[in-house]
Amino acid sequence: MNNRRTQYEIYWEILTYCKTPRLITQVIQRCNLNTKIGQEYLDFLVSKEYLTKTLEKDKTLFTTTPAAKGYMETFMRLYMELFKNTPEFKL
Amino acid sequence: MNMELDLNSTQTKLQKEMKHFFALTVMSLAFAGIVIAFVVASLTVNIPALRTGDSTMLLNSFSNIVISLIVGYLAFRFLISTAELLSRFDDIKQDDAGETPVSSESITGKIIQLMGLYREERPHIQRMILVSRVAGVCFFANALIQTVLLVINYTGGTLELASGVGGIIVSLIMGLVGFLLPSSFKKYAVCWDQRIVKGNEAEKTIASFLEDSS
Repeated sequence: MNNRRTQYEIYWEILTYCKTPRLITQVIQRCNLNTKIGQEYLDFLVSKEYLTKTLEKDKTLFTTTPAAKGYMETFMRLYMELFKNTPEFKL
Repeated sequence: MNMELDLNSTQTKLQKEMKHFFALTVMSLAFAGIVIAFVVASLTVNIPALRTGDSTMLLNSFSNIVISLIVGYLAFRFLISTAELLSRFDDIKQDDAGETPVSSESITGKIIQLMGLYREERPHIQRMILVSRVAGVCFFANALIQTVLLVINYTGGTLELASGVGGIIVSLIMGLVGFLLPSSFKKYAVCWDQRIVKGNEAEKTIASFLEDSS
């Protein structure tokens, strides 16, 4: 999906996807990013210690750390709240 | 327990809303298809009728052709916009097919996709609302013209009256649908606009959370 997303939405998507170790190419493909932007997002999340880099068979894998839990939960709570108190639609 | 209830209520709301939006989009497609069929039928009848020497008939045919062409163009634009929207919406709908029980992550992912879709398709949806209303006005105008012509030209025949009234009723129904469909879309648009605003506020909270955690 090439929807217009905010950077925070993309951070959340990356962190959710990297709950199991992922290659940068997998992250870029799954989150529909270009290499440059994808690398920037990953670097930011690594700098926040929300992601760790591990080397496995000459390949760098990104994994979500327990430190990201707070961000992910806050994000989910706020987004779920967007659906509270909204009208139910009828045709 | 509360979190689970919230999750279920959000999931139900989301699914219902997606189902209604999907139905609304399909109805819009059908509406546009019917309108195009009417336009083709109208042109097929009215273009050959331009050869008549009767000035009233000529005016009638000419006005019908002009209205048909305007409505046809609007219906075509409406059809394209709706098909594009439906295609993108269907992609999102298919993503969660068969996932049970639904997790909070998959619901959040769906909300992100829907918000992204709305951010991107907002101009399309606004255009659809406008185009459908204009098409509705054209149908009402057509009904008015047909009524006036029927009153002027009515000679007392039952068949003439039945076909005239039938045409007027069809135009009125199409005009009404042309107004009802965008009002339903408008409800979604208003609701999603509010969500986007609330989402922007949520972003500020998330941004400050990120800053605090550094």
